[in-house]
Amino acid sequence: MTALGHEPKAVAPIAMRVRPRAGTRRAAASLACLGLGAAFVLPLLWVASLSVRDEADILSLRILPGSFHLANYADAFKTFNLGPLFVNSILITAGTVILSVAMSVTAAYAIASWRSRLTEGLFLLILLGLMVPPSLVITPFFIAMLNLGLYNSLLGVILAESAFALPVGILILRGYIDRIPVELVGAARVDGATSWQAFRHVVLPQLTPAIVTVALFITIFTWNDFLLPLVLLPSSDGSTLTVGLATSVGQYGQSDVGLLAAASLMSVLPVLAVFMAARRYYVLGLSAGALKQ
Amino acid sequence: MFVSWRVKALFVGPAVAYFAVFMLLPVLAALGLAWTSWTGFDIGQASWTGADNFVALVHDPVFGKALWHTALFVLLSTVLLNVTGLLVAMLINTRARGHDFLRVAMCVPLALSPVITAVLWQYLLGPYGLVNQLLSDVLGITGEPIGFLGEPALAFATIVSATVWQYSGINMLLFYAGLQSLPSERLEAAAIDGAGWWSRTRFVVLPHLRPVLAIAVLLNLIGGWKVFDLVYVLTKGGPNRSTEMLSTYLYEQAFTINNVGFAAAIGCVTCALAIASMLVRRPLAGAEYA
Amino acid sequence: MNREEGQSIRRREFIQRGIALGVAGSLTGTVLSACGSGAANGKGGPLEVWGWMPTTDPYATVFAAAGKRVVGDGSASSYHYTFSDFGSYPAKLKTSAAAVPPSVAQMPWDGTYHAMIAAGLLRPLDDVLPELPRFDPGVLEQMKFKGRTYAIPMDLNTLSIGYNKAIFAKLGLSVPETFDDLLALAKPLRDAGYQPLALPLKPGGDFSTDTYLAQVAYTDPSGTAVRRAEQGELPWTAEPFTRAAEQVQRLQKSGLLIDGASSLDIGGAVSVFGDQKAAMMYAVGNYLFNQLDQAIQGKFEYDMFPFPPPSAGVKPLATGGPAILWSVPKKAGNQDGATDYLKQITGRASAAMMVKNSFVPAFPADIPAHVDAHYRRILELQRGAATRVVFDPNVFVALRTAVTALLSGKGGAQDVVNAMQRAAT
Repeated sequence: MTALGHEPKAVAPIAMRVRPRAGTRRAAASLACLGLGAAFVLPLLWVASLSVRDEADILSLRILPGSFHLANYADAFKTFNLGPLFVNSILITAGTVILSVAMSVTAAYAIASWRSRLTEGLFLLILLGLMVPPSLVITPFFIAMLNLGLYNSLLGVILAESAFALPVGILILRGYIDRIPVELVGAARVDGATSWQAFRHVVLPQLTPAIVTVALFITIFTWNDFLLPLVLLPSSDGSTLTVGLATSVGQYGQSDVGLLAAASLMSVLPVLAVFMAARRYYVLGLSAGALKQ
Repeated sequence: MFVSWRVKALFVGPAVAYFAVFMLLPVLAALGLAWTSWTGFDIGQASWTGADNFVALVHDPVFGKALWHTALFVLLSTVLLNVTGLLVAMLINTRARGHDFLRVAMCVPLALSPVITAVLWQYLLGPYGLVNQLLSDVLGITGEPIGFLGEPALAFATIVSATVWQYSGINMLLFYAGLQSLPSERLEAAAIDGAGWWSRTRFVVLPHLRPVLAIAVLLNLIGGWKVFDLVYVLTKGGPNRSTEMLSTYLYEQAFTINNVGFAAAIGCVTCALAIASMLVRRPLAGAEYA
Repeated sequence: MNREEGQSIRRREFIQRGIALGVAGSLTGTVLSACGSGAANGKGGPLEVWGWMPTTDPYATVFAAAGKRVVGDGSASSYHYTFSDFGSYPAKLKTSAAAVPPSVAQMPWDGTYHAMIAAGLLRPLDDVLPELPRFDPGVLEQMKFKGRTYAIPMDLNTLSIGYNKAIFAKLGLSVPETFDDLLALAKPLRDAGYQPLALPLKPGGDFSTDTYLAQVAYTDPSGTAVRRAEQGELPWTAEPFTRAAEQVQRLQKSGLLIDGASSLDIGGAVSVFGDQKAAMMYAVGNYLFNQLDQAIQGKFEYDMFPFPPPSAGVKPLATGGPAILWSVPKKAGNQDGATDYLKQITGRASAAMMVKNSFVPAFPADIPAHVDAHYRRILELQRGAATRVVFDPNVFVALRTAVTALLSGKGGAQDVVNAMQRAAT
């Protein structure tokens, strides 16, 4: 039986049919990859071009840079006080990712594997956190953090961000856990493993691409988050990058675009680095070869 | 197989306890505010008003506009994000040369924060910005500048496009991760059977990706009802409320007009709509996965 | 692995997990309690100042200098400045105001001000006024709410139309004396290939309310209509408001506005003005001097004039008002430090610093003979400037939306005042 469940048509041998088409098809695919990639990257290149211009050049609205003013980067570093901002952003993002992924994986596994009305109910309850617009919940959140003594602390922001990241993590991971055949875990249990061991040695390796995906999402979402650090950390020069850079916009809407562009490029780099590093881990948890259907 | 409730509790307990403390209470408080009238300052000054805020919502033309715009945005963005994400994920999956570049490139917009995005789009799409300059000076097509961010219909289209540009990377990542668990033999077998690209997609790829698609669509729907950042920095709901969304209206009511009770009522409606979006899970994911 | 071994492994792992959780829990607890923020109260505590000027901004150095003098006086133990960006400042002030207020807060000139007064969060400052310099009565009037003062103005701003002297000279044009003269500039400028007036109307970055209130400055010679309407003593459909809306409509119909104004922001306006594509731009004030110089790069000379009056013989009035206002939250610790700060920030040392940075003090100050020509012009225009603020947020939002629509060619003058009146109820 073939994959589509019907008898194969009479066709020419593969060697004659597939190979020449494969070549042009692959070339077209390559071209599409490069073209699309350029479309997505072009605006960033534009930001880069803004970041090396001096003020006069930016205001002149020229398409190509008329000057090469690298001092913008040093100036941006000083003006926005980027050092502490970077550190804070990295700490908050790393803390949030670790905390929320750890909780999401175990919870998603429980909800996906052990179906019952209770777990379904808990799942929907946790998803509630995803449904609420952040600007609404920010004021009660602030009061709660104040009462817990977590105002003006990085830990407070990490805990707050994790609370928002948790539903996303559980939702996504649950979908991927659903794909893992239940027989695998059953086989491990028959061999005498506990639930935890089955989870750790059989399920987790399968989930690596999914966990990496979730970690990437939470990284993006936390790195660029604005409202939570804004309200929970009093001063913009002790806050995260996103909040600190917003201060470049003055009260009449004016801003120093060159400095902002330079600072923004610098703040994009860590996230890009994470993306590049994560590429390797996509390549799979299927190595166990356990997924023979 | 038997799993004791103790074990189940240990797995799911931390998350639930955490959630109860840090999220549930603030959320319930926020939803509860919809039944009060409050300026947002001293919580002691909040006064009970019953369902007055909800009645006011029904009669408010701006709310109606915001609701309509958000619904339209949710529909357009969900469709476009998923189509784009899926097509690009499949393209990257062919492992053609340059696929690595595309995979990272598509995620680059995700790394940009709202402030720089606003500056970026203003420079690109402003009346004397890059695109307009190209169109009028270089290509000589248009005489007057096109108001991408200032004309009502165009502004809406710009926001949808900017959203797709910035966020389709997420859908792509989801589908790509899902595609990794699809053995290539099945696709090759289908190709050998003479199935063209569309048939392969429809009968092999999509069924395999159904649970992932359900999640992606759900995330897009929920995120769409809540959309705020991009709209706020690009148009703040203008021009003349033509891009007003539920959450930008909420923000204005809460922080500019100081009418937190009314804002909370808007929040309740947004929440309800997002919850209603959950209904798509079962039909999309297929019975056995819901 | 048999059952016994499996059980003992289970037990071991359970214990390990339990220990890990316990350690984590106690660590969290300790850290949590250590991270709690303490509020210092009472006399001689720290002076906490909130604003939206970044620390590197010259304004912040003026604040810091005043703060240092307060510490030197002994009224405060230390000076600390906290800021957030202008857009989010009201939200931040609001969420923190009742709980952890600063000693002194820069006050946004929008609905936040009146709302905080109405919520009883601001301290009346009439008792401090006698110890401060004499402010311009018109300016002080704008700070009052139901007869009491809740904020002290530090400096002023004035917004006018900037114009390219070279272009005007080339085309033989002169500074318009009446509103009609201004509208009449559209034709010669467009014929010569220039855009007449770069007026930013981009949603969120528009100068619609300023344009409108610049007309109210003339239709309401008493200068009290806006304040009276806010208190409910005058309807928003009253004659000064309607006539001002009609003037704005004539502005839109005259073709004076730059093409694409609906998506133009202030940066874009500076660009097209500096590039000599537009002969005039709005709004120019001392906040923009630096950027203008960068954009112009000495290519031409520019000067400013306010929106002209409807008829000749009337003194031209710019709109303006306090740029920096300071209020003292009632619940703040260290009220004495706050009072001292108000005195220091309006003292002579502070004034000298402000003048050096081309800020316009809100009180009489010594202006040296050699100052920048544009700065001198701003000082002239500031005398008697009319209000550019509507404190009722509902009305302000309605006004902004309606005037932007009007300037984009949608709606009419009557719609503007009707929208304001509807919003006020």
